[in-house]
Amino acid sequence: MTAEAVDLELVADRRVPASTRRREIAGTVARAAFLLFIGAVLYGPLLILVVFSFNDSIIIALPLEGFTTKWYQQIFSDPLVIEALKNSIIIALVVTPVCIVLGTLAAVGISRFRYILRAPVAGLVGAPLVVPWLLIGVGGLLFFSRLHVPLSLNTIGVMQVVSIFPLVTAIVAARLVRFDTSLEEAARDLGATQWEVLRYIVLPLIAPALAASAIFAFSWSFNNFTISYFTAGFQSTFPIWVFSTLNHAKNVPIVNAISTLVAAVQVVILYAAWRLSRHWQARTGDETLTPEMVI
Amino acid sequence: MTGMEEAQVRVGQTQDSDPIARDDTPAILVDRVTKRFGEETVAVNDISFTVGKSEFFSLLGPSGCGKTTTLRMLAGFETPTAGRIVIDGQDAVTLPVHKRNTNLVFQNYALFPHMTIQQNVAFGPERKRLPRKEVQARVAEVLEAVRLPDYASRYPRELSGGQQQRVALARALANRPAVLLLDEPLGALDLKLRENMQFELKRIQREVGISFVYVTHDQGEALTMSDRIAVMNKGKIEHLGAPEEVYLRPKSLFTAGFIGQANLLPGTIETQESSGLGVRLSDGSLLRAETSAEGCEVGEKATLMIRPEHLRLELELPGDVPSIPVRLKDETFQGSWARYAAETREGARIVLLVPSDARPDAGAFDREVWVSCSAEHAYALPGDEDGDVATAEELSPSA
Amino acid sequence: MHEVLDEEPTVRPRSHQRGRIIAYVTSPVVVLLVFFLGPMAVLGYMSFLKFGIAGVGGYTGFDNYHEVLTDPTFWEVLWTTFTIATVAMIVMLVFALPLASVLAFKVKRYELQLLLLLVLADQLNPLIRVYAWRILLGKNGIINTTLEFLGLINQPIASLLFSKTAVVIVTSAEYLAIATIPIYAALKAVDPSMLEAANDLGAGTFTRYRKILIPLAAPGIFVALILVYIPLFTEFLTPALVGGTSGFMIGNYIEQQILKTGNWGVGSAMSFLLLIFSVVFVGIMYRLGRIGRLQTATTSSQ
Repeated sequence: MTAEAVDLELVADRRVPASTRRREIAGTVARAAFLLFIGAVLYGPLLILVVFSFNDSIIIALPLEGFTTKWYQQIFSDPLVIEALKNSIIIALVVTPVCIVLGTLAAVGISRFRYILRAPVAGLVGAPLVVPWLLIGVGGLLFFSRLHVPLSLNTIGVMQVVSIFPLVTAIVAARLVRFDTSLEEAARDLGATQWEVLRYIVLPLIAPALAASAIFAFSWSFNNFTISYFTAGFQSTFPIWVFSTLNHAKNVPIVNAISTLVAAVQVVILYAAWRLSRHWQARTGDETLTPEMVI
Repeated sequence: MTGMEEAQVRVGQTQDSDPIARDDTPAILVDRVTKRFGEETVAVNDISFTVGKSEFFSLLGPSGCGKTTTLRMLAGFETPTAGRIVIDGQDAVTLPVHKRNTNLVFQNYALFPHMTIQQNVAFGPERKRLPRKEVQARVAEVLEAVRLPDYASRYPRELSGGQQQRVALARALANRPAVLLLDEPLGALDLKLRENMQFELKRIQREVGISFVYVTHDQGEALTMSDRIAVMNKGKIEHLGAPEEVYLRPKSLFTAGFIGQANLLPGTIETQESSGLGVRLSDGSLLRAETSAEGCEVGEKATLMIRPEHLRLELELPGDVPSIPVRLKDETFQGSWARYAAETREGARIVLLVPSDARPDAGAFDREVWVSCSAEHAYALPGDEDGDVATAEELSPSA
Repeated sequence: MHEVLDEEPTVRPRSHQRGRIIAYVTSPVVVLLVFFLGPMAVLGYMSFLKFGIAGVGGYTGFDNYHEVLTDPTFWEVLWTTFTIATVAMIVMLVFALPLASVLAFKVKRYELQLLLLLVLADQLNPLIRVYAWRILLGKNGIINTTLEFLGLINQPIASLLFSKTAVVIVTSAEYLAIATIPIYAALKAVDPSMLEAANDLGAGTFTRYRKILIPLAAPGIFVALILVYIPLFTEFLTPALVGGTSGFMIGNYIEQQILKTGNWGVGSAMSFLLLIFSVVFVGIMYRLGRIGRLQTATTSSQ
């Protein structure tokens, strides 16, 4: 018996030498470590934030002083942050449906018909995705001042819509392109009017794409800083509030608390959205939902 | 009897040649319809036909012959460039799709994935605003007819291909259209399932009693199920007639080559008698054809069509039956028959079928043998002007 | 009768379709024309005006551009921006490529969940994320105190915060998810047995990467560049919060001109130059990566 023969292990049907097995295990360990590292980089800072939000000290540094919830209580006594949160939510609630409508209209208009102006229209719709947000913000500011329109939540909303509905168009158009038109033909053949086709066949089947777009648009709008910063008047949004608080005061633990809360809510909403999309996926048999959400 | 002829007897075809319709008013009248796409493409070129009230009518032809375009014009998804379509007495060209009294069974079934079978089948009746009880009754009725009564609450993706096919059929039938249009519905099914479904479709058509317009490229299918077949090629109808006529007495070379397997042997018409035509083939053999298509003239070019199963293999030169000297090249065992490829002295290919128990021994390959054909099985067609006489291999699709 | 019928035109007139197209396309296009092209036009227009303490002045030709291009600070800031953006991009790609390939090929059961975690990280508020990093990087922050505690350093590393390094670190983390996903998508379109075949034929890890993985991921890398580099370049938030004076980027400079000194003419000139740069960059990347082909490939592979 040679040493090699003794070293052989049976793995499934293959005979794999022990050295390969060791290499495989090492590979798996290395990969796991790598993934953990990435996880730490992406989520570590956040977790630290959460820890400090319960820390009983004005200084955000080690060592930890003790558990407290007073920073959370402070939130409710600070009118500015409540106002900022409210504004962010209101803007997002208005911007989202507008984006869905405009985005879907554009998606249908671009992907369903062939006409001469199609390329320029598609280019125009895609343009905001190429221009940096900084410039959209600055441009918006100059634009409104030139027109003597005072800056306000409205101006924020308008510039946000313009920046984000093209992405909705991209998502919905991607779904529409894959849409099986024979389903629409079958519906018409069975007696459905154009409107009924839309209502019973098309909308239900693109609903997942619409929902994904809605969630994305809402969270983008809520999180948006750059564009909002330049086109904001006296009212601030949540990101703007955080920014100015950080710039004007050195250690403000209240920011930790509110950040933790907001982050927690976002996680919950996104998780719920994901579960909902899985449920929908199962119902319509549409397997392409997650890649859409992602891309 | 060949398989095709057996199938005919099975399903009970009539023997009359070229009936126009069983009833007075046709369910469909297509009058000189042409469809052009853009400047160049003529998909359908001046075709006319009628479909009777309870007729199983097939549009048969290779890909690109215009059969699907024709069907879509009947359904309303395409508008004719010229010509008239009358459906159930109504001029259909001005009718939009959803108002027509036809329903289409799609090739890919087109079942709505987000609805149950029940909802799918109920879709048509619901669009007609029928009362709920009636809708449910109809759904139950058609699901029963396609033998899927317990599947109402399932989703399309849970069903097999054959079952989805039947649901698509049920969904169309639930509307009680005057005419049912079917676009190669059995294409995606395997052989056994296809044969079963052919039976089912024919049975349902007989039971429900409405006209079927059936598009297919499979000539065996068309021969099995149809009352009449329109053989199409390059936008035109080559031959419109009952399956037996199309098979035994095709009107054009294309039809002869497309339907079933055929040997197409070029030659010239030498004599014309009451018992038939004498045709001199290019290798010198003289054969007799009892039947012939229109247009055969003495002295003109002609093509002799003989089905492989009608050629007899003779090891010695037969005295009483016209025959062709050949050399055997290839043998393929096909179960109850053996298929032989042979070559004439001129190099033309001939295919013949020999019953398995009458196969010759290997020695038959080493010398010249003969294939004979009695006059009743030979059929003459006028050869095309441009010498367009295709061989059996070129024209007929795989058996 | 046949002749008369032959002349009948097709029933569905073209104008019916045209009406539908207009109905769909009008509102998005109008909104974009007014609120996107409008601001861009105003931006360009303003760059030709003079702004001083006295307020809005008149047409001043290319003076603003001249002022910008002869401003040494501008070039300094531009250089800093370029350095930071390029280094951050490289750092990101170094991590994104293996991450994307691990996700695409190696984790079968958890792929969806891990992908979701990746996307989730990106959906959280950027303010929160940058602020969290600020806590980590400070002189008394976790990293420094941990390193001190472990005895690896004697004093806190000051340059971890309010420096170019800080901006690089934070933006790399911020944009990592966005950079990874297109690469992941490109790799998903690849047959994993190709890597196995290479392994089988004796290629070591490094060769596998160089000869197979990177070329296959290339379209994704170009998309990542398009999605990330320009936002990196025009970053304003992160340098403002963790960049300090040495991590001052072009975005901050523009903000200074527009919001602090009110020098809108110069500010718009800078913005417009940046705009041209962005468009050109995206155009080049698009061409190089043959992105158009990738899009049709992914949609047609359905």
